[in-house]
Amino acid sequence: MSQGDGISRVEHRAYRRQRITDAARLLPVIGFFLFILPVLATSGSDSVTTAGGFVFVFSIWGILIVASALLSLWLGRDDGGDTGNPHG
Amino acid sequence: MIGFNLLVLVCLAYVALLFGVAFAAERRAVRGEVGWLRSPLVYTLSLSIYCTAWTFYGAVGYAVRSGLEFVAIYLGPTLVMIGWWWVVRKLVRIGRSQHITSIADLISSRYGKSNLLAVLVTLLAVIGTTPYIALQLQSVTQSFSVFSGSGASAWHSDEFNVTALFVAFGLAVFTVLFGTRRLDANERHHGVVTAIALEAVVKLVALLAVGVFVVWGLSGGPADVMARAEASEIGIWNLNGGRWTTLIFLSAAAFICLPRMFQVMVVENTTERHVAVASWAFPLYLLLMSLFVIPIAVTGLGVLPDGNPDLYVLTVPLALGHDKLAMLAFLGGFSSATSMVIVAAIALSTMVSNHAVMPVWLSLRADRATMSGDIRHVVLLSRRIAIGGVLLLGFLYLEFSGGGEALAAIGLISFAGVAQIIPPLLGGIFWRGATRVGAALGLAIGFSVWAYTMFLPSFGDSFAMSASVLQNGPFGVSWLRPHALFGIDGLDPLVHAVFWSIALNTIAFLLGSIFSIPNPLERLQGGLFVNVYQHSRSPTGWTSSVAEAEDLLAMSQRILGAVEAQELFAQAARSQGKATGLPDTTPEFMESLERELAGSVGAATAHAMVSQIVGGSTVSFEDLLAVADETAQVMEYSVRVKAQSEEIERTASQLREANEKLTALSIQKDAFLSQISHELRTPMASIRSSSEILMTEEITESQRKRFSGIIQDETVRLTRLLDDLLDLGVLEAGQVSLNLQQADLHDVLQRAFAVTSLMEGDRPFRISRDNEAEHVQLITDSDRLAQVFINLISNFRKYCDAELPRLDIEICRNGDSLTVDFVDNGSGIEHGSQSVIFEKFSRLADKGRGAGLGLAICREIMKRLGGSISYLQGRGGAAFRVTLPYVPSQP
Repeated sequence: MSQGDGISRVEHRAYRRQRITDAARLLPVIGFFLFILPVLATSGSDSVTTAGGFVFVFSIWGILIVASALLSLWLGRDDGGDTGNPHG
Repeated sequence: MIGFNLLVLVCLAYVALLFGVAFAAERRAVRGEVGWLRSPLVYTLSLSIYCTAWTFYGAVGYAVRSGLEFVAIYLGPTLVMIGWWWVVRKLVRIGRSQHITSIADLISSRYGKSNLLAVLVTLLAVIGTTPYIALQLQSVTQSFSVFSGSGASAWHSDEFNVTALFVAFGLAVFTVLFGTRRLDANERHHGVVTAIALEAVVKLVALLAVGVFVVWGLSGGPADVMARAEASEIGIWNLNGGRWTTLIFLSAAAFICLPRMFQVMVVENTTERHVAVASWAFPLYLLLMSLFVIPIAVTGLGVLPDGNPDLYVLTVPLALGHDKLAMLAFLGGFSSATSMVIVAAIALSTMVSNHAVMPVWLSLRADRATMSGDIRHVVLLSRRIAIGGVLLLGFLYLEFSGGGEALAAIGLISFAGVAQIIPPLLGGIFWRGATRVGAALGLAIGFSVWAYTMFLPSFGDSFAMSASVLQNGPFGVSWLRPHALFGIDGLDPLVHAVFWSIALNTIAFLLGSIFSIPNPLERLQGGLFVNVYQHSRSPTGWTSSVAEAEDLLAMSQRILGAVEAQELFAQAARSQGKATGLPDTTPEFMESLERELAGSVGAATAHAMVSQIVGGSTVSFEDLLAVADETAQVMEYSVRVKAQSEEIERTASQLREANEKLTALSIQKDAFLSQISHELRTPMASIRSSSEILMTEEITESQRKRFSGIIQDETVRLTRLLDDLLDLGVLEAGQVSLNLQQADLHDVLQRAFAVTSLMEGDRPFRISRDNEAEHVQLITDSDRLAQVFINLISNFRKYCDAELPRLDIEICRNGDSLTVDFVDNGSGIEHGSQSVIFEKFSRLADKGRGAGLGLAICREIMKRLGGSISYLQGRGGAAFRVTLPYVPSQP
């Protein structure tokens, strides 16, 4: 493997990490908009069932948790992997 | 039905278990075996003190009253945690690098260690937390009353009070025992955190168990529950958009600002990696905690339509005869209440003692010298008293407010109170321009508006505000109505209060910051906080005390010396009761070590070094200033010492030279005296003997002539010697008068050679001259110059030891000076003698025939003529250079 490949891969990883950080920053903003979506949706009508709202809110909640878990896993792995496995 | 006594027994057993866990954790931590005590799991679970009894029991009640709205209380913290990269990570990093001990400490440090802000935040925290503690005491007491069989309302108020008092007292004892065990620089409480993690598991398991029982035991699974929810009175979600959004914001702000949350999230945190895990694990915990709230509420409405919905978690299993499940639910509620109270009491007591008690105590004792050990004792004592005080306040609040519905509402009011810290907090960590004035203004205004629109009205029209003030505003000024500020009516009271308090707070904060000028410490702290990632090292794990002791020893050895440092450490270990090994890094030991090091490197440097190793902290601004001062002093001192020693060195070498010269001169003088005695004595002897002979009768004419000739010669020699001495004396005294006139160098040389050719020449010699170059016009005293030349030439004739003596005379013009070199082909003058040949009475040991005054006279003459004479090295034989000032003559 040439040295150039190594450098470009390091650059690539740094870039990737930067974008994951961006995603981690963006996640709560997306979450907030999704959580106040019901406010916008019900502003016209007044018949949203509790069960429907429950499913909606908890689905969003679950998705956010999974996304956050993936992101923190990536960020955590890159933290420790700087000197470790080059194929990480 | 479970008996009340059994309940108390189980409760005591559970408390004993908590004590045991906390105690074991403390023991492990002291031994340095933290391991799982500091795992991401424990960190995540410790965050669960967000879920207090208010949420454990109250969420179901909230759901019964307002449907899904309760969930907003959990969504705020969820957003904060999944957005950990923004705020929590930064807070944790700042907390570690600045040794932050509480939220009040954070605000105070950020704004230039302002104690005013610290006191303000502490006050806010105490006012906001006390009712909350009362709420916890109430819920525990209520749950007890459920088991007493008669229900909350029927319980005698005496029994109620006694139970609350017992609970408060027990919590105080636990908190004092494990919260103020010792004074840890990092304010970490392993025992408490571990016990809280256990409680977090208990409350989650309890709520899940009740939920599973309700969904699968009483109903036909999730679908059935949903269908029943549709049919129930909370089937329609009456979403109030303003409240929903406000609650999400409020819970998010409170999650960061609540003193107890800050304690577990930032102060007790050991590494940022734990935050990364908690970023998804804690939202998951919250999701699980709220997953079964709606089913339990729906079921409760079906089973106990007339019961207190706030206690459905407990009463539903109990009503259906599931005593063990009810017991578990009770322990869950108990855990929620106790863990919150314990951590809140620790956080508040830290703030009260650090920012209120200690400054006052220290200023009272300012005139007396204090030992630092003394202070530690006072800190611990003040914290213990503060814990007792906080719990007592909570209890008293419960007593006077009378509990019940009014108290339940205090949860959100408390949230809104502490949320006032959010503008200066976020401003402080993201905006360098935030100043102390702005923060104090914002806090004061936000706090006032909150009190006016939310806190005071919460007591109803009986306490601070009359009904007319609530209805028509103070003095009938309608735009100041507490629930409709500036005449904006129709808002939900919560939305109204939160909007106005936070908005005015933020505006005051921004304007105050923009229009005030921060002091240097504020600016520096601002930079350190906002750019914390550039200033702090990447997070490191927990270092055990053994590693610290080793590091300290390594450092001390460099400063104190290996033997001394090892002896110091061994002594400390012995005094700690250890026969071998390294001492524990106790505060006492650190102090003595710091003192010891301070003797070598200065107090500030010693402090900075020790805290670098032990605290893993960045050095504070004051530390740096002190270190810089010390360093500057040391540098100045060493520069002075260096200059002095250089000076001394120079003087010493000059003295050495002078001494050598003096010694040599002294030897020369002695030699000269003996020589001159000899010189005088020899002619005197011949004069005397000649004159004696002349005095005899029988003497021939020829003899008379011969002897009187000898007398004549010797007298001339003596006269010449004395002339030389006199000449030198005159020259040296500067009394000679020079007869300066224009002269041709060639003529002067010519004269010198003419004079020296009269000397009796025993050997033939050759002279090499450059007639061309010799024709130089000089302004000089030609007689004196000739004298110098004569001396040099006659020296050559006397001392040149070559087979065929040869003298080269080289003339060289060099700018405004002219050099005349006399170089012969003899063996020259040996190196050791070169420095003395121009001295008076200097004679070369084996060759001397003169009085040794010739060259000394030459030197003096040349000095008077404005030139010099020197010996040239490395020119083959003896070589002298006569340097003359040369002014080109006018054409």
